[in-house]
Amino acid sequence: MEVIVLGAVTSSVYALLAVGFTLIFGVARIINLAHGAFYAVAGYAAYILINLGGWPVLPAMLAAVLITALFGVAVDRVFVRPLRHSHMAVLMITLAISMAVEQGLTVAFLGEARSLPPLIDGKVSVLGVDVAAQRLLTLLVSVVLIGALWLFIQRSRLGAAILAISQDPEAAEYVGIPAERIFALVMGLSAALAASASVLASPFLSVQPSMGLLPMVKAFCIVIIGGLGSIPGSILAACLLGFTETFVAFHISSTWSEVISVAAVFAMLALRPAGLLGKREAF
Amino acid sequence: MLDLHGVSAAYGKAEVVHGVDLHVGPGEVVSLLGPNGAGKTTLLKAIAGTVTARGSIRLDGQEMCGQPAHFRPRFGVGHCPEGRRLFAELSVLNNLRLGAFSRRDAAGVEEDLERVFGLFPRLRERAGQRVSTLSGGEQQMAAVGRAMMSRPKLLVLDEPSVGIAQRLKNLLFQAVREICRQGVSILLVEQDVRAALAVSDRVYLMESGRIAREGTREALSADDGIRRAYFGM
Ligand SMILES: Nc1ncnc2c1ncn2[C@@H]1O[C@H](COP(=O)(O)OP(=O)(O)OP(=O)(O)O)[C@@H](O)[C@H]1O
Ligand SMILES: [Mg+2]
Repeated sequence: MEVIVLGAVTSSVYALLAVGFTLIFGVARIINLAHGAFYAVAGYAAYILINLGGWPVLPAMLAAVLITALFGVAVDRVFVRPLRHSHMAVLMITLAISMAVEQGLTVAFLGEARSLPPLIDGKVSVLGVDVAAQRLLTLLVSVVLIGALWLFIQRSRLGAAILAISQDPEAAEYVGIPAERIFALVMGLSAALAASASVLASPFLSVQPSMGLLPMVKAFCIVIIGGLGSIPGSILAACLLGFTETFVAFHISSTWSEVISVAAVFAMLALRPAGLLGKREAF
Repeated sequence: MLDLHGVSAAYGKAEVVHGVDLHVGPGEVVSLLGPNGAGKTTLLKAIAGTVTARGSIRLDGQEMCGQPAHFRPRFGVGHCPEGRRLFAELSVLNNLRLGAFSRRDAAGVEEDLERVFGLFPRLRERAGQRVSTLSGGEQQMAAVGRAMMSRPKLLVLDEPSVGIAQRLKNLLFQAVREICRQGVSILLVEQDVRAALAVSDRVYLMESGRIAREGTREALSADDGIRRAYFGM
């Protein structure tokens, strides 16, 4: 039982991270190695607002998500846009950004681990298991956010433009879709999703300069397993990984749980390189 | 209407269209014909803004050359590209609505949707279907319909009849005539020279990136040398 509840929480955080990462790949064909940096920026933005700015927790977290979204848009506009024609250059610049963010945070905050207060305290009993309320809130908010993203893409005018660009960027130009603006929007959305994962999970993890690395690796693994560019694939893979890791951590050891994502990636690349729900063209 | 003056276009450093002058008048249907690789598609892409071009490309006196491609529908260019390039995983209806992306007049869009369904009743039946499940001819209708959804002043068609059955081809060219009657100018590139001549007022012949001949349909189809060389008839 505990495995199911905690596995669902882990899965939901993974899904938030992976969906944003796969979205920007699906639309702009960018492998954004700064995705983990978004996670870290959000954690520190919330930390600064709460502990140095004295903000209440909820407004601070919302502001942190907004700041990170703007940071994502800026990264796209300033760094990615001029290099868009070269995949390798985009890979290098986003890697550079993620290292710069980590180093910058280390210099400013001396690399110590800090913590964020939870949005809600206490424990709730679900399916006979006592769970920290913050974890349950994380699960709930993640599901709502991903649902909202899905509706936005399927139902709105901008969502239609996002789908159109992901299917045929040249045809999208012919019908008058401003590609660069859509790319910036999607980068902002992607950053906001990573930021949400960060402010939700940081209260039970921690805030430190290298905090973006593990989420980045997980998002990468999940997206390879689920299929690059496939949102349903990412959600499915996030759940697979989230539940398996939690199960292994409970019944074997938490050291082994970290090996699982890597093993799953190797297995997937060997058996089905396009991922569970990916199309082969994505590679 | 459309005026090209000294238009050159290049892929990277390789220039494939060299100093083309071309004119399409209001309500005119103009064909651009020529052998494979002559640069017809490239010239149309220069008009659509998806290839780097030099020279002057004006629509109703407004200079479009140098403006980004996604502004073209607002200038009044509806582009139906070579190979259709529909959004294959979206429904016919969504493809048509995306054709109106640059418009804000919701009522006008609904009107034009009806107009497209009027031109191609088949599309109304297929509206909810994913484009990838349509036949080639139906897809071509959807592609023309999508271009019409921007309510263009000029409709650019790049080989609309490629690979579709004769019956659907006839339907398509009927629709082209009807679109022209509604006051839209048309620039047409077409492999089926006979079908193209039948709907055109004037014709340009293109060869190796240059305009080789220009004239009315009657003048060009009367010239025996040209008939043999270009039209094989
Ligand atoms: N994307 C591209 N990159 C580089 N060169 C290209 C590209 N597309 C076309 N070309 C070259 O430009 C020249 C003109 O091609 P274009 O497609 O405009 O010809 P076309 O007249 O439309 O031919 P077709 O009748 O086969 O459609 C050709 O020599 C072609 O090889
Ligand atoms: Mg062509």
